[in-house]
Amino acid sequence: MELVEKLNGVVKVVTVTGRIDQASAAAFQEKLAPWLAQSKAGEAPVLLDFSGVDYISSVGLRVLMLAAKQVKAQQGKIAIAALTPVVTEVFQISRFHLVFPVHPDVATAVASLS
Amino acid sequence: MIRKSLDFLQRIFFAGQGRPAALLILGWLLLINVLSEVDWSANQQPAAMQKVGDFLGSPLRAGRQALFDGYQRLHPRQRRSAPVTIVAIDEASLKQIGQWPWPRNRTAALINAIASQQPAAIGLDIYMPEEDQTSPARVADNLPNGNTDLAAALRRLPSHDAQLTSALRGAPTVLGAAGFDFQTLSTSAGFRTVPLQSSGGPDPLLHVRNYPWVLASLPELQAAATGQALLTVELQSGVVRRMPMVMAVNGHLVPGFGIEMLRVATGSPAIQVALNSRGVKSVEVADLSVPTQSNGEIWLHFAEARSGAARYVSATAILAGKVAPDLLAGKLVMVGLTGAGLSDQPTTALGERVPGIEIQAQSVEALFDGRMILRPWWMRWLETLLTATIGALLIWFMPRAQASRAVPSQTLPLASVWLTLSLNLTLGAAGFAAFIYGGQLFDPSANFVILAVVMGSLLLSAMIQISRHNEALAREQQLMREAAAVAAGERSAAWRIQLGSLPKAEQLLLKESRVDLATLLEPVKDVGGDLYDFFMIDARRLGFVIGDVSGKGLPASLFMAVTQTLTRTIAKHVDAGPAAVAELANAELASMNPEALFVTLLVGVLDVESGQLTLVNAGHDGPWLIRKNGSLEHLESPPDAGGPPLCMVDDFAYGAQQAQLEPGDTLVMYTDGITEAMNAEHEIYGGERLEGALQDTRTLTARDMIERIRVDVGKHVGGAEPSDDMTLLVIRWTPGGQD
Repeated sequence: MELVEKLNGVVKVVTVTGRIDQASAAAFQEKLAPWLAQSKAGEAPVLLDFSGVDYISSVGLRVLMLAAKQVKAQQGKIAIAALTPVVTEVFQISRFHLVFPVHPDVATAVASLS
Repeated sequence: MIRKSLDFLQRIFFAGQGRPAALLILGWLLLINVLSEVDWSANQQPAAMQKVGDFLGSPLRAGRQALFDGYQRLHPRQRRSAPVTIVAIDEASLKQIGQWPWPRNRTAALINAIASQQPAAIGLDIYMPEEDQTSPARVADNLPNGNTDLAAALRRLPSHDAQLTSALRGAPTVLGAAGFDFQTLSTSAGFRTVPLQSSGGPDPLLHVRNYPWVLASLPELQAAATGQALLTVELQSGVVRRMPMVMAVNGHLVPGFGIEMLRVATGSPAIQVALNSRGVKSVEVADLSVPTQSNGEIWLHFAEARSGAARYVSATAILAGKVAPDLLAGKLVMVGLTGAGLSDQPTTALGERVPGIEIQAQSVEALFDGRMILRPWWMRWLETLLTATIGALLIWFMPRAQASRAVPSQTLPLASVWLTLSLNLTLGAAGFAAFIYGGQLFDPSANFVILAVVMGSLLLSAMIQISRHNEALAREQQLMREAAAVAAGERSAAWRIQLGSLPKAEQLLLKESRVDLATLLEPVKDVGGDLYDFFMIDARRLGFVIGDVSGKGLPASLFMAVTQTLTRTIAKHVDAGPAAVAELANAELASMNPEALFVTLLVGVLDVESGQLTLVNAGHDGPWLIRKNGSLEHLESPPDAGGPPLCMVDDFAYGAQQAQLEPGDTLVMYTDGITEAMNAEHEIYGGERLEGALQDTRTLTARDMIERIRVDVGKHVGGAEPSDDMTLLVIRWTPGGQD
């Protein structure tokens, strides 16, 4: 479970690598927390680059759901991009785009967030 | 009773990390040690204290004596001077002259023979309190009647005692006497000695050994001798360690044998006894000043007996005139019995049994060699101070070292033990050095014993602490185990409740022939986050639910239970269809969801008369529809129907999808525990394998189909740990009854 930040214009692109399942969900939540704390009104938007995530389970979805709620309450901006096929399917079944803004790739996402 | 006392003892040693107990022991042992050595001013100590010291302190005293003897055995005195010659009345002499006591004319002859060689002094270790019965006059008295001429002739001869008297007068002689604590026929209340002058302090009689009676020689012999002295030495269990320089008889100061010999040899008129506030400081004669203990004694530093064998001369040799002159000339000659059985044979500190005269000789020789061994009055206080200081440091430090460890109360503080041991060894070496170079007696043995006991007490306390800590740990572990068992029991109870709340197809739909329904729920971690439910809403509508809560364990299963109850209640009482059920359930659940869990749900209604199927898919895997003719269809959620899992989006407007079943069609619903079951190589079972299994089993009854799928998934997973709950719900519409 790795989270690496890179600045792309005004957007903080956080690249996530690994599986997000029962075992690693807690670590993912912990590592994501600093960016969530920074995501406030007027602060840089955060983009989660999920190109390195090959699987996500309901526990992981819950972490993302709570993250979205927190950022919304803080009036910040957050989104996800570059989902892998398995994760895309999970998102589709759960209609997760209703919970978390999803973009097909990083470029589109950055453009949308800026 | 014993249990109680042991408990009480444990508590004492446990209190205050063992410090109070150790301090008590230290203080008590120091007290006993001090009391065990009160014999210096023996006359002054109250008898009770002395008895306490004797009784309780005897092991410590024994240790001290053994140590001091040990010093001597390791380093016996090397004879540097030879001022003494011993004239031994030995076995050969007794054989030649006859049994002892000799007629005193023989003794007189011996003295004359010695005197002819000009010795410095002649000392006699011989008591002659009675008249010689072998004198001619006494023989005359004993003659049978009728020998008057013989008797008269005998009576004209000089008595043996008279001969001895003149022999004694003719040489510098010292007669020995013995101090007695009780009266006998031969003892008297005093004897003639040179006056001893004391100065510098209060009454010396308070400090020196006083004998009320003395066994001395005949008055005329006493008068003829140049000097007299007490030969008595105190034995400690048959061992001589100290020699008094001065004693008292019936309240008068008298000299010891060696000192008196020196006085007579030097021709000094008197002996000085110097006193200080503690008692006798030194005894002086001529130029020699002998520092003593406060009771006038000195410690003897013994030389090995055999190293002095050369100074023994047999009386026979003296009488025969066959002695080299330098053996007697200018020497201090001591005459005594050495034959076994006739003389006392005390043991020296070196462990050798020697005649009493040897001890007297060695005491004079030690003075000549300058080997005056003393135990200064302050020495035992120094030892006490040392022991108290080291003991106090130990008591303060050892529990601290114990407590400051990373894992306290696991191991004993042995560093302190080694440190104390090496300290003791150093003190032992110091004591030995003090003996050799300073002639001083320092006793580290009591220190060793007392510190060992104190350390033992502290170690005992440490061990009790460790054992109590381990007991507490064990109790804690026991409690945790019990709590875990209770929790497990509760979990099992929760699982049983959950299981109980799941409807059993065999019971519920026993009489219902229009559907063939079977279920499977295999939870991981014995409470499940999956749920299924089915119930007849009315005579023709079958409601069913399958779902998966995000998460596992108790919170998930509770949420699942709530969801199940809620859905069933709503479905039974709300006639608006599964979409409304989903919306109402979403709203209700959201209001009681502190953990922000969500649940994927498939809720549907099958009209078992018409085969009409209404379905709402809230974020769940769509069901497989197996047509009677064998085609498989995966029912996806169309864009205008279904929605996200419940409690993910507030107030979502769910839509239902419709399908029409033909008789014999089968609906198979599952959770992702089936499709994502992983083997040890992290390969999932997958939708394709499930599709294949459904193909293979589509003609079986619902129950058999489920069983075969279960086995197939199990085969795939193999020995790997299942990671998610596995649920299956199979419904076949059999309007014409089941074959």
